[in-house]
Amino acid sequence: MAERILIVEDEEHIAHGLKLNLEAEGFMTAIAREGNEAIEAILEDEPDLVLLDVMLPGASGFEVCDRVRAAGSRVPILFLTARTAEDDRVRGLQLGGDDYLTKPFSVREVITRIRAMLRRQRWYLRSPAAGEVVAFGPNRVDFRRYTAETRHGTVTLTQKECMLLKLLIEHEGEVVDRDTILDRVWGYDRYPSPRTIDNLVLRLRRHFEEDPRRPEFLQTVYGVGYRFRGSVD
Amino acid sequence: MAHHWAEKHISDPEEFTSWLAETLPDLEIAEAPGSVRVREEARRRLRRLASRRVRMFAMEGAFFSLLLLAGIGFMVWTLHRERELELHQAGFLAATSHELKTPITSLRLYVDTLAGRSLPDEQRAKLLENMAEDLVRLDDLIERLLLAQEMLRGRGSPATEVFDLAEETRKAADSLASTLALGRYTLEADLEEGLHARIHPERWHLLVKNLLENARKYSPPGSRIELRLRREGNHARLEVRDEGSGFPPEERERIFQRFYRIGSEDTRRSRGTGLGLYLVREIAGAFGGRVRAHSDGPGKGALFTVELPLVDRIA
Repeated sequence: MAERILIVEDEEHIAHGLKLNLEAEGFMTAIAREGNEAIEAILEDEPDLVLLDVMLPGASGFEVCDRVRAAGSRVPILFLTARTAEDDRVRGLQLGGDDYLTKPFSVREVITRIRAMLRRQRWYLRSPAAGEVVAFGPNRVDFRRYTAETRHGTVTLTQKECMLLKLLIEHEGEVVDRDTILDRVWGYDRYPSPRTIDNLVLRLRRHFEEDPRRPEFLQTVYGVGYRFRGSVD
Repeated sequence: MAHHWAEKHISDPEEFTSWLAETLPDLEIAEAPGSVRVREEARRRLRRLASRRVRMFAMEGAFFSLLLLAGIGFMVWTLHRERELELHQAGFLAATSHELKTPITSLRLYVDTLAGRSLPDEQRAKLLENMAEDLVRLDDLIERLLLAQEMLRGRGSPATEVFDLAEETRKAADSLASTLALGRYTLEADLEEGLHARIHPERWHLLVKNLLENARKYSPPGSRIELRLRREGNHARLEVRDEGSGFPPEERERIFQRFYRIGSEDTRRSRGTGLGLYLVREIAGAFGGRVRAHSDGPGKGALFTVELPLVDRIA
């Protein structure tokens, strides 16, 4: 079935150009031209992916992302921004966006990014063999809701945290190397700094391990990558 | 330490007196048997001179200190303004380059599309039409920015030639017609003929376009924008009215300030350059007119009125 993409862009020619190309690639499209309209469309129509322009009348693109994430939507969001300032890019990702493209972009870039994002989302939505809730030690992780019950109480997990955890759990007992992690969890050809994976693992350990410095479940295999162990030996 | 004293041993009173007279000529010393006389007037004069000199120095000192402080104050103020201007320039440049990226983005999309896909003739024609519009838009944008830059540096030479206001206003409105149509805005134009004024046509176009752009920017798509030109006594009155977000009435002066914009931080930072209304006021002033803004409050639309002195056209 064709995937549905919501184009949020108030500049008519850009919206038109995107629609034309996405439909030629087999996607179904809808267009929202204003911030509040976009929020409604995302929460009610539940598109498979959102192309989100940052500069919008009404609510800004950042605000749209913030509000739909707060409302529980996990739809993949690709920001379109004319601003190249580092801060703006990071901000978008921190607010829960998945990726960004700076204007002007080429058609090929848009299509490639969209396909990659949809692929990752499809992989993520496939439930692991154990079901959508995974338990290890005192922890129970709900991958649908992005929440977990831990010894510290209920925590909300970010998209990246869930994706990494899921990847490791799917390969339980096996080492997952850093390249695979980068590919699966980040997926684009611009890799974050090497420390980013380490920081992500550290956060997960803080949630789930009794002593993060001596992890039982999320182990480091030095020089290679990480490994998940569901039961304590 | 060696002090420099002029010493005269008092052995001979006459000699002593003449030495004293030589040493202190201002005192007008005269000789008298057994004593030394000093002219009272001279003494007083000398004392006055001494105190006057002190006063002079004190005043000069104070005066120069003040001058110095004023100088420093001026420099600090200038530097502060320079830095502010620099920051604003940087903001201006950022906003400018952002404005330019929009038509370039759609041009790139269309070029990619035309190059990469085979489309039915009708669609191709539509794309090419859009691209032509984008090029016009880009050109127009650059012209306006250059003009804005010019006006920021000074009002320029006074207008001497007389132009038909309705015609020049219409030209400006027409150049924005496609942009407004894209947003499904309805532009209602009602321009009285036969009105003439001393203007620079390009600057008048900029004024009209800025007012219309302003109306568009703060109005929801599909709403109505009114453009009216009327005679009022010996003035022409141009009105631009919108049904948009308006502004708090107490802001009606401040909105004409450089870089003042209403809206969230994101919209303020990048939609437009923040100079639109400022330039409207500058241009109106340069033509001997003025502009006023009115709004009943947020959400209640806005009305901008420009008044220009009319010139009776010599046939």
